Amino acid sequence: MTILPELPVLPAAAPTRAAEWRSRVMAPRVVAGAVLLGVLAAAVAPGLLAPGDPLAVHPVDAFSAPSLAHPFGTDDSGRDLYTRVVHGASASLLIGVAATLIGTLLGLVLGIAAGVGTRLTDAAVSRVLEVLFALPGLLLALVIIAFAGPGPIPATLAVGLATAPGYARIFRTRIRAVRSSEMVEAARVLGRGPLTLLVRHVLPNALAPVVVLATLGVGQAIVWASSLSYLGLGSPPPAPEWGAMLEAGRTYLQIAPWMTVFPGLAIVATAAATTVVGRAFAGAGRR
Amino acid sequence: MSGSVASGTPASGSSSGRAPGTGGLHVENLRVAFDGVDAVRTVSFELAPGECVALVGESGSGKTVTARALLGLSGGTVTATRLALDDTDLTGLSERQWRGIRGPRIGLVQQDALVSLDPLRPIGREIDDALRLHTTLGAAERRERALEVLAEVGMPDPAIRRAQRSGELSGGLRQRALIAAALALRPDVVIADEPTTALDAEVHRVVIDRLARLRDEGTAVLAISHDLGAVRRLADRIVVMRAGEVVEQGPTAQILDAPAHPYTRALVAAVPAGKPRGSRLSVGGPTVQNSGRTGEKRAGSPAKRPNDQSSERVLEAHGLTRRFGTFTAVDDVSLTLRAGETLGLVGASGSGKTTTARLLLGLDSPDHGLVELLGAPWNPLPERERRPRRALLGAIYQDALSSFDPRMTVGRILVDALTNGKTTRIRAHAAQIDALLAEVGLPASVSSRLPATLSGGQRQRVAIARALAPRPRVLLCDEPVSSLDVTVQAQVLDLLDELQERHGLAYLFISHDLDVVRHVSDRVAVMSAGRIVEQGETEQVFSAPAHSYTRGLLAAASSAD
Amino acid sequence: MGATLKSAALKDAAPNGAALNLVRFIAGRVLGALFVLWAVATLIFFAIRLVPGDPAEAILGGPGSQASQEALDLVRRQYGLDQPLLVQYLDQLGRLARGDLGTSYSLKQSVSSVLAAQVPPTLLLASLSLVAAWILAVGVAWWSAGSGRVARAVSSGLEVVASAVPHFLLGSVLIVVFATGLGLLPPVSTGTPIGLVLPVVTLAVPVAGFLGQVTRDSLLDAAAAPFALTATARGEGPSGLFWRHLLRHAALPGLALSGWAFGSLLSGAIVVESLFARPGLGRTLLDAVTLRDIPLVTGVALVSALAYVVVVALGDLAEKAVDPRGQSA
Repeated sequence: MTILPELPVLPAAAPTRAAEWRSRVMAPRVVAGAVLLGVLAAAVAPGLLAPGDPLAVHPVDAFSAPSLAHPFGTDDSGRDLYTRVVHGASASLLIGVAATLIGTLLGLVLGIAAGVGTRLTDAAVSRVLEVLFALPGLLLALVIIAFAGPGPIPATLAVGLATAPGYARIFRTRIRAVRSSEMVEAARVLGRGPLTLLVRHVLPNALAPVVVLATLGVGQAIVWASSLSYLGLGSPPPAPEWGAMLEAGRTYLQIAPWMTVFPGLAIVATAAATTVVGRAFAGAGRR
Repeated sequence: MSGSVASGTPASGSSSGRAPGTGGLHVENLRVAFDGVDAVRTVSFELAPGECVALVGESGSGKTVTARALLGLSGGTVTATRLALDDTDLTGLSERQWRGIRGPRIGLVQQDALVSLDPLRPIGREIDDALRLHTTLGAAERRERALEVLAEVGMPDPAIRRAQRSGELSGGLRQRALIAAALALRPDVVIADEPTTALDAEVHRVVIDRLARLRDEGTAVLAISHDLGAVRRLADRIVVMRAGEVVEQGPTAQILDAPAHPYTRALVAAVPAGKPRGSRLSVGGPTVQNSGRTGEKRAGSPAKRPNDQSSERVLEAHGLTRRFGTFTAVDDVSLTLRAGETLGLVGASGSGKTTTARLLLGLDSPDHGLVELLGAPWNPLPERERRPRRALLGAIYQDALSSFDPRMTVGRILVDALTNGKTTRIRAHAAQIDALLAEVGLPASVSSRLPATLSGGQRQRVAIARALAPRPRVLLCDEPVSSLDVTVQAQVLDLLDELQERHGLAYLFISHDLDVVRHVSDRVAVMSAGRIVEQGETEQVFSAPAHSYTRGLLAAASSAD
Repeated sequence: MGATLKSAALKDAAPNGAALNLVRFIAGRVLGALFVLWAVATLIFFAIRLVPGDPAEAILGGPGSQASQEALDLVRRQYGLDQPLLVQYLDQLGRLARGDLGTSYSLKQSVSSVLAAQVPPTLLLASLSLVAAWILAVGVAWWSAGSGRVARAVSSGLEVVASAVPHFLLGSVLIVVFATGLGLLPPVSTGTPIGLVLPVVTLAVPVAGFLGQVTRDSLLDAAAAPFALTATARGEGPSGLFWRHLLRHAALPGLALSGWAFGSLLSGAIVVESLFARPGLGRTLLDAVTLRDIPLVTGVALVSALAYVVVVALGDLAEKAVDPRGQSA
């Protein structure tokens, strides 16, 4: 068959959508939702999922491959990796959420200033954003750490600051788009003043996707923060934090790959799940 | 029978050598289902060479699905007792076999060439593709042939135009290019899917003429249209569809002049052409005081309309000029709108109608000139000083949906309008909302719905209700029915008429559709290239146009009837 | 409402000379680049003064070095750190304008020579990865467009995972499988073409995942557009439709994201160069950050900012070549 999709306006299209909805759209969402619930449970009550002590050292068991006793294997000090991954959820999630909060809040401030303000503020903020975009992502984070020094808090701050320009640009664009929309013109024709327009129509519509963006952003922030840890600039190694566990596993990649693989999988699963769930929110918002 | 291709016969062969009169398309009991649900069923018709059959119906009637099924492109499950082109059975063709049919045997012309031709490729390449796929011609011969085809559809300077993309051409030229691309292979059957929708009157005529000539040259033409004026000019027979079924078919004159089925009658009655000001267009329908039959004048109208020169001037423009860079969008426009009357503003797209509307609404400031509302200055004026008087001047738009805040329910939209934005809480104003909805013929239950879940006609009614809420004296209607089906258009036009009568509203009615403007207006202003080239009493302008532009516009439109 | 009119007016006002447009384009970008470089230099210069810590101490090996007061004073005089702030700032700008990026604290050689040695390997790695990413993205889009719902679901899932996978994990897994396990490829960069395979794949896959998502979304939009129906109705097959029509439309959003792709590649290069023990800008930056070697950090930041401006300009040119309509909506 050709790749032409079904005609959208037909009354008969509804059942097609419904079937596709179930098979193609819902299944990944259910999986992603389950993953996120698992991660949240691990973050809130790690003891329920893994009763052991994440810091308990058993040198005898060092570098054990995954087995029934140690489903994810053990690390160089014989610590159970499953327990450490479960207990690491809260730290990693906290860093991801905190960094995203910093990024979105700063992005909101800059985006609203540029979108709502005068032509001059818009030009100024846009210039600043342009400069920040020239120092992309991890690079900006690294430059910030160069000044603030390594550690979990500077790393969180760095990731937050590095993601802010992206959010700011999205919000600015959306505010500008809504401000020049027919909906706002119609409200102006009805006699609404600038403040009412802004508060009742422009900001709610322009900023509605902030939750979706933040959900999508948490996954990215976790990946970046763990990248910093992996590079030795985030949480210090003994802490059960996913990035730090990766850095510890780095040295032993060839002899104990599970030390890298399982914390890494936890990061990928969390990031992919937030992406899928974030998109589900976005889809629901559009409907 | 199509003429034989001058150079290079289509690869699939059989387009030449068939006896005239024996070919054509045979459709018997066509059924198209999507996931087991019928979108189209029991559709049967014949289409002979040299004949034009029109599929007529409104959105959702299944006419487009039917047409696509004839190209094997419906995307659903197609079954038919017989579906044949000449002696080629079209049921159960493989995708590869279909590709041999599409193009050389059956061609498709869609509406809006801006998006129906690949906007990133030159039009010459689009024609070249067709020839490359189905003929053995070399590159130089194909180029030659493309130039020929472009010249045939009346494209000026084909050698230059060939290298241009659809976006670089005017609406008329790109529609010609689209037709040329479909005709390059001289198909036996041409399916024209709403080929004139959204075209200005002049382009409209060019397209109809070209399709008529094609038919006269022996091609079978299947025209899909909701435009009964175009259909009358072009079609030999009409097939009327509704909700996936054929309700009536027969010769054009019979269907249009003596329709048998109630739906066809409603469809024909809804056409505003030739119906005098103030007469009803809609049959039944949920407008409020629904007494009269269509075509009949309501008691007391239009004679008592206060359209004489003595009634109050509610909106006046003096020498409005607006430039964008070096482009003058509105050039020295002066208008007067009196209480209770409708002033129609017509003109081709890009003539400055919308910019004029924005200046009148105070959404944009003129470079020169002045707008007065009820005798007091209105634009230019600081928005702060305009705001208290904004209630006097309302507006409705072509796309009602995008004029609503998508987060607000109908009830909240109306409360906001009723209370001048003081609140969006419905509770205290429920009775007023219900009254307002009743006034525009909507049930009270609509109040809790989001506009996106309403039909096009319902949305426009909500927009009208919102515009009425602050009790305006003037309503500016910018193409308010242009994207509605013809029966819905009839209902909305009737509603606007009733409301004008009841509240003494003055309308400035902007449209590119001359029939609609003629039906609704007391006076008409004709716009071209930013200027008002003519204005006067509607009948006078339409029956004895003074300006050459108006004459051309009317000639183009009337020849399409 | 007025938007169409305004854009029509702008089109009218635009000069037709293509050469003039190009000159204007280049001039605008050069000015923009100069502004960005000045801003980055200024930002970093004042950021150093804002954070606690003595630059002189950093030069001598950080707070742990227990440097003597005499040594600190000497360094301060040598690096002009005893001058007033404004003098230092103007001094720095003057030196940057002359192309003098200063001397690395940690490597004790000129930043320019360090960069000259480190830029080419990163440039090679990033360009190869970008090409690989586009091939992967278009390949997956082509495959999933021509196939059924299952294939689409699979490729969409792959793209989500690919764009979420961190470089360090992907690289590690590739090393474990292809180097440790199968012994096919070297685990660290050897400077040979074969040693580039794993780093390039590691860097390309996340970018490909993201490009694939936007490409496929716009591919579906293009496939639903009326011109696709027109082409199919003239007998065009699926592959002709894809290559001749849809691909251009589908590639546009990806090209518009060139700046983003550059950022992702450079961010990734930091990890990948470290993981595969490759020389390059990323690893230099990491070392400089770890040692708080401010002149080197500044140098890398300036080079990357310049590269960003160039990449975005190239992306815009590529977009214009595919879509000469001007502003694509």
